[in-house]
Amino acid sequence: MLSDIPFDQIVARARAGDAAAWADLYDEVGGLVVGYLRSQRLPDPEDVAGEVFLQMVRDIHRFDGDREKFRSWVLSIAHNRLVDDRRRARRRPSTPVPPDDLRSTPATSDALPEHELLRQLATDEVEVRLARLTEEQRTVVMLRVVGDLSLKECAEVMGKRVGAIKGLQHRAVETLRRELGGESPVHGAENARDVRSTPTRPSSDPSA
Amino acid sequence: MTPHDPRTLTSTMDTTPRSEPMATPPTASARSLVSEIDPTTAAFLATVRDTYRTPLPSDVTSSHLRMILAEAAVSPAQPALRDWARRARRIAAVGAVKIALTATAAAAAAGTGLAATGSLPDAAQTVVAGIAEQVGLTFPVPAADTPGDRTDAEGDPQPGIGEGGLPGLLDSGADEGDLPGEAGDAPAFERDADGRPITPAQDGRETAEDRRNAGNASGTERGEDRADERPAAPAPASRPDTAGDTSGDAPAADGSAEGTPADEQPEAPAPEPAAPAGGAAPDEAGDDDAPGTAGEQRDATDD
Repeated sequence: MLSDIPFDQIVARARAGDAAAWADLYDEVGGLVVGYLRSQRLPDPEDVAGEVFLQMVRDIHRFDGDREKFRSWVLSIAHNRLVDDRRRARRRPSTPVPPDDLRSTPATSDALPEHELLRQLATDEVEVRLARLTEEQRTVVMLRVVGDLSLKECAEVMGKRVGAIKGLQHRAVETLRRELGGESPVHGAENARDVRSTPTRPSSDPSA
Repeated sequence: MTPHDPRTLTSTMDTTPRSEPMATPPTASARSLVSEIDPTTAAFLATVRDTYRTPLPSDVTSSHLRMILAEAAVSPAQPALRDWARRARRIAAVGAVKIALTATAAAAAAGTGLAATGSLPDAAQTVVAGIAEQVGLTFPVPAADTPGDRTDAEGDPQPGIGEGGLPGLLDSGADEGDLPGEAGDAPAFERDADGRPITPAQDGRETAEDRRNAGNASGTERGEDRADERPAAPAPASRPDTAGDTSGDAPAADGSAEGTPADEQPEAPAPEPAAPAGGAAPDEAGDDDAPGTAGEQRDATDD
C-alpha cells in the first residue's frame, strides 16, 4: 500500500504504469463503484465496474485533484456508464430475470450461504422501500449515502445545479419518511408518540 | 450502538461514513442531509449503505486489477499524445477558419472601397452599384461615365465625343441655368463652321468672362451676367446694391445705374478680349469702334 505517499504522487506513479499505485487507486474506489452500481439495480454491476475502471485508466492523464476529487471523478465515470447502460437497455429491452432466480445465484463466490441469504433478505427489504423513489431521487440518495459525495459533488456527477440536488434529496427523504412512517424533523415533538408506536427499524435489522 | 441505531447514521454523516480514513472534515452540505432526517429514515439509510457497500470478493478484485494493469500497460502515455494531436488538429482547423474569415472580410472591404470610388471594372461596378442601390447606397455607375452618354447631376447632356467629336466643342459658355463663373461659361472652345476658333467678341455674345477680362469687375458686372442669362426678364427698377462685392474696384465709367442689364444698352460695345484687368470702361471701347468689336463682328458673321 502507498498510503504514506501523497495522493498526487500515487496518481503520477499510476500514470507511469506502477502496478502498486494502480492497486492503491483501486482500493480507494473499487468498493465504492461496485456498491453504487449495485444500488442502481444493475444485473451485472461487477462487469460494468470493470468497464468503469478501464475508462479510469484511459483517462487518468486528464485527472488533477486530491483523493476526494478522485472518488468523485471515478463515480462520475460510473454514473455516465450507468446512464449509457440504461439508455441502451431502453432501446433494446430485455426480459428481466425473476427475483427467485437471482436469489439462487450466489453474488459472491467466497460468501457463506447463510450470510448471502441474510444479505439478500436485507436487499429485498431495502429495495421495497426504495421502490417509491424516482430514478433521480434514488440516484441522489445513493450518491450521498453509498458514494459519500457532498451535494456539490452530486451536482457535478449528475450534471445538475446544487439547488436541484437539494430538492431531489429533500423529496427523497420525505418519501422515505412517509414510507417508513417516521416523524418529520419539523414536527418531531408533536409526533413523538406516533413515532414511538411505529417500528423504527427495518425488519432486516439483525438486532431486532 | 447497532448499525441501525439512528445515532449511527448521524455520527457517520458528521464524520465519515467510510471505513477508510477521511481526508477532509464533513462538509456543510453533508450535514444538511442529517438535519432533515428523522431517526427512522436515518436508520434506514444506514441499512442501505451497509447493504450495498459490502467488501468485494477476492475473485472480482483480482479480475478488476488484471484488467486495470493490462490497460495501463497498453496505453500509459498514448492518450496524452492522442490528445495533443487532436488539439493540434483542432487549433489548425480553427486557424484556417479564422484566416478564411479574415480574408473574406478584407476582400469585402477592399471591394466596397473600390466600388465606392468607381474603380472597379465596368461590369463589376454596375453589379455592385445595383446591389448597393437596393440597400440605399449610391455608387458610381459606369454607364454614366461613358463618353457621349455623360450627363450631369441634373440630366443635362455634358460635352463629349458623341456630340462634337472633342470635349467642349458645343460648349456655349453661357448655358441656360448656369451660374456665372461656372465651368460651362468658358468660351474659348467654340469654333465656327470652318473650324476656326470663335472668340466671344466675334460671335457677338458677351460673357461674364469677357467682361471680367475687360474691366475686371465693374459695379454692374454681376447684374449684366444675370441679364445675359435671362434676357426676357424685365429689368428691375432697382436692384440690390452689389457694390459691396466690388467696393474696391473702379465704378462704371458710363455712369449707368449699377445692375442695369446690358441688353438695354445696345450701343454698348463688347470689351476687348485681351483688355487688361481694371482697364478702360466698356463705353470707351464702343466709342472707338475698334475692329473686333461686337458690332463689326456681328456684321461679318451675317455676311
